[in-house]
Parts: sequence; C-alpha cells; structure tokens
Amino acid sequence: MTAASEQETAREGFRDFAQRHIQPYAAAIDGSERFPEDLTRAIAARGLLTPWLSKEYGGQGMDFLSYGFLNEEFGHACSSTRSLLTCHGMVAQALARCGNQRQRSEFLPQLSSGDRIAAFAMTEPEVGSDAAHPQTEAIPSNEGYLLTGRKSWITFGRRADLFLVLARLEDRPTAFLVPRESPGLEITAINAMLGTRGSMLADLKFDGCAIPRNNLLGPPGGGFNLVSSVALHHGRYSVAWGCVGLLRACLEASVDYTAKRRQFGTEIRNHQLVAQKITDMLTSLQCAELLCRRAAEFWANQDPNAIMQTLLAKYYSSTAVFQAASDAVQLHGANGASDRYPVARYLRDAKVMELIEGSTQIQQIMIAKYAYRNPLSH
Amino acid sequence: MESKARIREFLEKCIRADSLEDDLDIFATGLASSIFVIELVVFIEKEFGLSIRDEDLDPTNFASINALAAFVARKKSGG
Repeated sequence: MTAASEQETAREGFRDFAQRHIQPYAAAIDGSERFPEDLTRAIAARGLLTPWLSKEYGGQGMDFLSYGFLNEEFGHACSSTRSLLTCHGMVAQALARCGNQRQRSEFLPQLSSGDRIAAFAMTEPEVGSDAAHPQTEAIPSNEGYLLTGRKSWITFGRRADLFLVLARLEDRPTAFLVPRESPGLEITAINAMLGTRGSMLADLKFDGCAIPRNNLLGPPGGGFNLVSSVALHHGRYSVAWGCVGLLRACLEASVDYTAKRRQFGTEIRNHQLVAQKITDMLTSLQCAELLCRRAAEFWANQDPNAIMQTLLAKYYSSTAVFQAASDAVQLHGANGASDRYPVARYLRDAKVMELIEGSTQIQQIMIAKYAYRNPLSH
Repeated sequence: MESKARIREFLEKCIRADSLEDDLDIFATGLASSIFVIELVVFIEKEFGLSIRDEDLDPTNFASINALAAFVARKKSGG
C-alpha cells in the first residue's frame, strides 16, 4: 500500500508533534514513572486521542493508515505515550462498535476531547490470556450491578477517569463502563515496571462497586465476546505500529552511534559483525512496516482478513523490535546499558511489547491455527 | 450464491469444520476462536453490505447458519 500525499502530510505533522512535544521528555517520563498532564492536554488539543472517530463524536474520521502513522511516530518518540493512544483507543473503539446511542453520545465526545481518559481492565491476578473467564463478578442490583474482584496491570489505571471492565455476569464474560469515582473502587499505583514506566499502571479492587444499569456495554458474552475482541484488536493494531516506530528509533540510534564510535582505528560501522546487526535491523523494520501497512489496507477494505493480518503484524513487529533493541544495546556496549543513551529504555520498552495485547506465545498459537485453516490463500 | 451458502462457506473455513449443521450453535461448540467473533461481524457487514448496530449484537443473531441467514434477511428488508 502506498501512502497518498495526504497521509504522508499527516505523518509529517505527527512526527513534528512527537519530536517537539514528546521525544524531549521521554526519558523524564520513564524516569519519573509519571505521565505529564500537560502532554495529555496537548495530544487532546490536537485531536489525536481518538482521531479515527467520526466528527459526530469529536473525531476527525482519520483513515487506518494515518492512524497507524500516528502510533508509529508516538512509538518512535516514547512508548509510554503510545500506550496512552492504545488503551484509550481500545475503550473508545469498543464503545463506538458496541455501545448504545446513549453511551456513545455521553462518553465518546469526552474521550475525544480528553475530558475523560479511559483504560481497559481485563487482566486479573489469576486471569491473563484466558480472558473469557474473569473472576471479577457482577451481581444485578436494584439500580444496576455490583462488581467485586480485582484487576491487575491496568495501563493508565492511575490516571483513567473511565474503565472498561470485564466481569462475569451469570457466568458469562460481560463488559461494564466504570467511572473512577464509583463507590467501592480502589486504585493502587504500580511502580518499578520493566518498561513503559510512564504508562501509569495500577491495580484495581472492586468491593461491591456500584454501576448504573446503562453502563453495561454490549451483550453479555459467552462465545460471543465482541467487546473484548474489538478492544484487543484495536490495541494490537496500535501496538504493532508503535513497534515499527520503536524499531526505527533503535536503528537510528545504532546508525548514529556506530558511525561515530571508533575502535581499532576506525568507526565500528566498518566491522562486519556490526554491519550485520544494522542490516538485520533495517530489514526487520521494513518487514514490520509492510505487515502493518497490509493490515491497514485490509481494514480500509473492510476485509475480515484484517483481524489475522493485524495479529501477524503485532506478532512480527513486537518480536522484531525486541531483537533490534537488544542489538542496539549490544552495539552501544557499556554505554547502551546506561541511561546516557536511550537504547536501554528502548530495550525495556520493547520487551513489554511482547507481553501486551496478547503474548507472543498466544499469538503463535492463533497464527498457527490460521495457517491450518486455509493454507493456500494467505 | 444464496446467503446461507456464503455464510456456510465462511464459517466452515474459519472454524475448520467440514460440514456444519444449519442449526448448530457455533459458539456453544467451542470451535470458534476468540478472534472469530470479530471476523464474523466484519464478514457479514462486508459480504452483505450491512451495518451492524449495537441493537443487532444479540448473540442469538450470530449463533448458527440459520440464525445468521435470518438476521441478514431481516436487515436487508429493513427490519
């Protein structure tokens, strides 16, 4: 897929924004483990929190490829900032697809404007990839539902004003919209994560947390888990493109360093084993980007294959970026293991990419099943 | 190809079943993967030119070949 000039222009705008407003603060965001409010406001003011939403809900109706570029540029500058787009977008996408008119009208304009920041609360202390079986329980009450249980590792949980929570309602996984101020919700910050340290992770505890009836989102699940599928799919698309950006950052840092660093009387770029790593980085960057562009193309054509293509893109991009970040640290030597260069942060952030929105191993299982499903039409 | 045949072809490919009974509940069988549901919704929209709204998201509309064919027919007739 070749980007039209309009999309390339949009990309230049995203890159300019990211380089001016995000990249200079990325190390501080990581170091302080806090996401600055003024950056959230700046992103919202540019209409970049949920730009793919229709104008009716405060979005720009942005196309899939441009949205991919946005994630790439944010991912290049700071993975924690890209995480904001991801988790916020996951909730907005689930609302847009599965919410009723009242929910869409109430929440989506708030998410577009940044008046509310949203987080996706699926993972639990004992429930990770097996998302169809949450232990958090929802019990019908006179005015709605009472939630009881725990959620873990919730990205932007410390900051979010609105949570999309998956809970078990009469033994079926069901989605609920839970405002931060709900009585019975306790939020505990998580610190000292390996990577994406600025993404404000939190644990959530629901102790008879009261939710209005209208905050049930979509139909109760069972085999038909559309809400979580829609949200996770959006998340994978965002992360896949974010990995492309991070991979590009690894390559740029490595090219810059190896062109200046001298050993044995020459720049280390002239050593063949260094050249091999640079070659592998550039090749994997282009492969990752092509897979992401292919996913964007399928989405633009409303093709059901977009789901698997996005899975492939996320799987490849996340594994490739971890290898690239590891190589970038290796090329920097001891400098790479310090905070004098960004590559140590890149490596920590890259590892997280293999864990979120479906671990590498879960994705391998799903992709292999797809390969057997229709092996001649990939 | 009639709606039911197109739906059957898609389902049998996606969940790797050789012959699905028209009334078999595909979600109750455990054959469907976690991503199948979204593939199915996108397929129905694309294949039949429909827009699936929140009020359509009753799982019974998507449970079997017969249910899907009836749902498509209802949507096409403006129901």
